[in-house]
Amino acid sequence: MTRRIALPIALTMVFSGAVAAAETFEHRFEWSNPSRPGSVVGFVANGGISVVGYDGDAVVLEVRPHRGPEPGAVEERADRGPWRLPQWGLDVAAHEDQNVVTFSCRSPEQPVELLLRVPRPTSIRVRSDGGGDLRVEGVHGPLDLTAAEGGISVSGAMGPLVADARNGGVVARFEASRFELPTSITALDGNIDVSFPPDLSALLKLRADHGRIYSDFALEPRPGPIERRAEGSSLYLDKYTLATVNEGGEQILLRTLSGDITIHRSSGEE
Amino acid sequence: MGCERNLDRLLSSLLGELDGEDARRFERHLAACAPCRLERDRMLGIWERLGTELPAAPDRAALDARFERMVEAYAAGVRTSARVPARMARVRRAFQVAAALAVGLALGVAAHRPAPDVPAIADLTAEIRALRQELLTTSLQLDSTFGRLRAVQHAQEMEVLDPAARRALLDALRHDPSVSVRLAALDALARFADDPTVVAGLRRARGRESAPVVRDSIAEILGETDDI
Repeated sequence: MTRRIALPIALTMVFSGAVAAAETFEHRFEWSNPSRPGSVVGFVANGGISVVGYDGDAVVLEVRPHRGPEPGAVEERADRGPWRLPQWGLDVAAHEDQNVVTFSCRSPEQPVELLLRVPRPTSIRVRSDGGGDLRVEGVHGPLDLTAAEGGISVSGAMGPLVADARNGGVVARFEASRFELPTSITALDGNIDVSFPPDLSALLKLRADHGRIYSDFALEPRPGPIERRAEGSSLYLDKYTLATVNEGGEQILLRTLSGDITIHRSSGEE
Repeated sequence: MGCERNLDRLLSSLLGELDGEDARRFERHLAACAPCRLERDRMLGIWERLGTELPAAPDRAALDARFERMVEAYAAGVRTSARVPARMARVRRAFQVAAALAVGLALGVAAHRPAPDVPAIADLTAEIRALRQELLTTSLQLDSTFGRLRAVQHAQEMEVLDPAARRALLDALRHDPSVSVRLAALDALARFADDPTVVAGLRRARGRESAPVVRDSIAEILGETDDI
């Protein structure tokens, strides 16, 4: 008996470097298995990330350091010092393995802007640890986004979204009306502004601790069903507002500590 | 992705816990997904046979023969089935174990007691419930944030959460990298805020929580908010 064995071939490319400010890195990654959608996973320690879906079949990663101070420049803090000296370090690493592009970008002093062009079905899990926003346009796979010190904006989304913005709002425009997985959007200090097609089917779970909730959809909101007791000494009624849209479906949680929640019904012409 | 999500629904369906829109969506998924349909039929067959073939006056030899046939049928099914996702394969194996346990239990009961075997079915139901809780703890280890979130949301709907499942949720509350998963784990645990173990776990989690949205929610459930 002849047995054919297909060995997985991992195409791995790595690049890293430390460059002077204002140079631009660009690198292209092919999927190991182009017939299957891939994933992009990574973080920027200081800066923002923009992801754009396109009709190509490779991931293109571009890093644009913000222009730093001119050589020799110092920032005066006091008449006689100490003076703050500039730093230009930048460390970018990325590789592809089994349809997953993994990247990291560290620049302790100067914020960077990381740009990704990805095939539309790609799933995205990216994080900005400080100093920048996250933007995603036209990507149809699941999106998992964390911005520690910035806002998040998403447009043309077809898949579910998990987004956490610690210091900014979240704006998300969805083109899909049903999701196969839950969506969850949280913000610490900012508004949540989402837009769905008119035929959205979902269970909404909403809470704006110090804000208000607005909806273009005609909803019949109801309180959360659970009474909670802690150590028998207090009673706590769930503060979420629940609402079923059309036939219902996967849960969409929207929660902000300080800001409003606005749910738009898109016209379908955007 | 859809198949992973529907595995829980498959088990819920067998337990008769699926209704309304969930049931309709599950049926729609089955209509479009041949591997899930095959799996449903296979499990449903075993389930129904367990319910109908256990005799009131057991014939040990016949039961042995049926058990052998079921094992054979499973083996043949495993050999000929199409490739299925790894997690589905794990569920199938777990279900096989549960089914084998139930048949074994039924055989044992039949050998020593002539009473009807309704308790065996009840025990099997308990086994399946335990299996679902095991699935929860396994799913919380998934790399996919969406997979973990889905698992925790499913835990919110479970009537019973055993101590191991509660510990798994507390662990997710303390260590999961996603704020959304931690928040969902907290919601699943809130019903058990009269359990001293859960209260202690919530206090530990609050101490190390970096996201204010989760930290404030823990404080609310503990009744320890500062903004009264």
